[in-house]
Amino acid sequence: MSARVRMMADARSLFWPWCIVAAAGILSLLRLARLPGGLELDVVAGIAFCIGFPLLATLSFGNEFQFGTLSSLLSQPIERSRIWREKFAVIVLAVVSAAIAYGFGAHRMGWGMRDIAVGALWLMVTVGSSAYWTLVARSTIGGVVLNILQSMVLVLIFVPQLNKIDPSGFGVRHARIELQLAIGGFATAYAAVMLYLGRRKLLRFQVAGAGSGSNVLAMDWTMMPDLLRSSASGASLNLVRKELRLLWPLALLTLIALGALLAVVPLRFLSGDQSWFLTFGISAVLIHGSLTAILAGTLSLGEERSLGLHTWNMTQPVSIFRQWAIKVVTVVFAGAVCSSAVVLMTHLLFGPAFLQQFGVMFYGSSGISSLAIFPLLTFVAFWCATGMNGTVRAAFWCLPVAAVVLVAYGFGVSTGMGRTAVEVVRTLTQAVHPFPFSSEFEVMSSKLMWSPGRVVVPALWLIAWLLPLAAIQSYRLFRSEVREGMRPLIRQALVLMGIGFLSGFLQIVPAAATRTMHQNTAEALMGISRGVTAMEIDPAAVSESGYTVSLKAVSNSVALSDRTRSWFATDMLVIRPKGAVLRDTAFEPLQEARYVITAELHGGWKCAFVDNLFTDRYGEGPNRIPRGANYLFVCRSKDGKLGWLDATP
Amino acid sequence: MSVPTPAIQLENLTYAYGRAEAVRDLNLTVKPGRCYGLFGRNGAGKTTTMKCLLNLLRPQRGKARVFGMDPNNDEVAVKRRLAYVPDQVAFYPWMSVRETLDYLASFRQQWNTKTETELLERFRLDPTKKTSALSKGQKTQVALIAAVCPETDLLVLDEPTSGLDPIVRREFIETVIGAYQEGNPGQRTILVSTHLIAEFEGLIDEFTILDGGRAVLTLEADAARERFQKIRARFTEPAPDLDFADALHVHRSGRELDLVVSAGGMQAVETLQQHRPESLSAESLSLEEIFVNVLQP
Repeated sequence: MSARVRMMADARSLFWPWCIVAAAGILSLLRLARLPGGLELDVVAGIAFCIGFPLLATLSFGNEFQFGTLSSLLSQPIERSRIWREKFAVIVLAVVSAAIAYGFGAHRMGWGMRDIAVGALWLMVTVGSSAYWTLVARSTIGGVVLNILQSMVLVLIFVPQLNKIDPSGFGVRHARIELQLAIGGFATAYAAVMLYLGRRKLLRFQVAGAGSGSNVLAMDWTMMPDLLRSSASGASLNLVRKELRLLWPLALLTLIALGALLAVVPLRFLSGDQSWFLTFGISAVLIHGSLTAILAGTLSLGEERSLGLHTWNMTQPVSIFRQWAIKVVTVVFAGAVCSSAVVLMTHLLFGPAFLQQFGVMFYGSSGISSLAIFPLLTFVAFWCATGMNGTVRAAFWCLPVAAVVLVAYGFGVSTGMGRTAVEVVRTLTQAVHPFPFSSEFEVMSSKLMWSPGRVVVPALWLIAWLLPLAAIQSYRLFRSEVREGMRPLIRQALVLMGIGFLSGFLQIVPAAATRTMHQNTAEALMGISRGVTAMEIDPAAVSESGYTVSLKAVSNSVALSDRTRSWFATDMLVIRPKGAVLRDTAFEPLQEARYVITAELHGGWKCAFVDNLFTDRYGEGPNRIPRGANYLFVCRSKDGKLGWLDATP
Repeated sequence: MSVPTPAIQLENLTYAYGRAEAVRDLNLTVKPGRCYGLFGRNGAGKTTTMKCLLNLLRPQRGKARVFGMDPNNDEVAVKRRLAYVPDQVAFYPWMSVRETLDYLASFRQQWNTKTETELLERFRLDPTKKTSALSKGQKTQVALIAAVCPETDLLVLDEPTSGLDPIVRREFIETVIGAYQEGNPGQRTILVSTHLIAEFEGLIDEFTILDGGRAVLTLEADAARERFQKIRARFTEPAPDLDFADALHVHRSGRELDLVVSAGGMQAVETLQQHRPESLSAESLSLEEIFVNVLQP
């Protein structure tokens, strides 16, 4: 087997992960502020960068552990140093090519020269250390965790120093060149040392244990409490214990993150610049939260499948639904507890500013509600783990799966706002409901629309559509035997995408259709208003009791379409003088108005022109017209419901 | 007298992985108290058949019944009455042997701790040892203990002796399996798939040979031995060129003639005697020889 064949085989195993990491980089090139669902694009790209690259760098060696092929590889008649060179070449090629996309996107995401340089140094250290940590941990996940831990320690040491360098002009104007050289030199030397250690580790590596089972994360830890040890009775409790034991690495990760946060406290007094501490806290929460959420969802089932234990458990006389339910509840709970612990610590250290800043990244939502992203990510990761073999593969796919479903949802939203969809809905609703709709409906439908600071209801809408289906899919995937290949999972993801699209469409279309219909009505009423004005009616003829004109007469002055005419219940329009108190609509006409025209629409709605209504005196409770709105028409139904026609351009 | 419900009943069982059919129209009935062998080459469909019984796979056609119950509809009830030893045994690496057995015992309504202790001693297994430190054979031993101790009505063993050393293997087959069946005579059933057919020779009551997902031969072990015979004749002159319709295998070498017949052994002997052989012997084939001759005629 030539080196080329070996390297191609290695590259093939990295292909899909590389595609995912590179795609996240390409996403950063798009001129989008956020993904559908309100997630800031910078946050998604940032998470993919911080977790995706360590994973990509670890995979080449990690796969050998996962598939139990290391002993076979090392038994081939080829020098280990050559294996090392070939693998490392593939890693460098994969990482550098994916990093190029981020390089181009960095400027768009507002990265300064200093940040780009720091990112490049971080990548160098991460790639250089990946082999060593993977061989130490004897697993991909373990390698990634140790690599990220190393990054956290280095960040804690060097960020105060980095902050002395001008972010806007690394090496140009205000930078201290000695400091830059020192940091760059240290990172290079560190990466070189780790590279040497990794190579030496491989040259001396002893394949002990049994393939995929020899995972440092699955090893016994002396600190494991007795409470987590199985007993001879209590099947459900044993299943929970087993789950918690499988998720034990999350507790360690959380302890490390808490330690890193606590380490910041003394550094705050040592560093001159204090501004980066909050950024560090938010980054720690984001990286720990994402990593914990993904690991919580994938680790338990992924490891069981890798070890061949999932099938074994399924043969036990415990219903598979019970096993699935215990697993899903435990992983979501464990992930939420771990991320909450770090969030709480960060909140204690940085105060309310942390949650405020954190929420800004999620469509300006409150920090607390945006934290729900972690349990949701855990469930997505669990869904992926039920559909494929192995922790790493599921971890890699969970973000793309979440992204494609969100994109489908976003596509549904934009389709719902499209003119064709609105027209279709308008035609359909017109057949069953004469508009305008009541203000209750308008308020209700507008609550479903995403807007800064108002994300809970739209998010709950999306979750209510997707979660039950995803849960059913995950149970069905859980109980079926997973085969190689992505086809079953893609099929399930396509169903989720379809439902995501539908939920987006239905979420937006009532509000969009109501708004369009109201505008159409308002435009028609304005046309009538103009037509009445053009008729130059004798003011003396307009009395308090109302002067009536026919629509036909008005249409001589202004063109009214058949559709517009069809909205009116009667052919008669009632015109009253300004200053009259309208009993039928119960509001005062504006002084600026020459006449007040009341038209009766289908369904008993009576609408009157009330230009620039700035007060909130009309309506009570849900019917109350919001202050400051620029509604042109106010309508009242027979049963007293208040509606409005928003003709604001 | 009522006919007892079969321990296992498969009717036209069919399962395919994509386009590749693993099992096709398999019919099989295992009566209670029997030891049933499922033989076949690698990829013949033995494990797939067992997985259908355990509801790990759902048959795409046909039906599978365990003690008259559908493994899909009565999943837990079926699994309560059987224990399974997979071809590749795995345990949680952080658990000790003791903890593993406790973990598995917690799923069972019954667990014979006396048998557990005896088997741990017999296999020389240290209960405090982590399962990650066990050899492949030792893991199989733990799996076998976990399968025998619940004293279920059915044992489904998929290559149970792979990785076991010859002493433990013999002890397991002769003592453990024997003791298991004697625990409730006539009621405890075993379905075993193995390539080490010779080792299970004395234990198998009935067997099915699978090839390419289809059953090519189903017979009682005794009837098979009676039917499949190896006949050897030696002549004073070069062996005559005879036509044996039921012969699976005919080998002529100088004055010697060897043949394996699947039926009509007596008739073949009589035919040979008419040619006055110098010596003539007929003996039953072992199950392993039957397996080889059926699949490799």
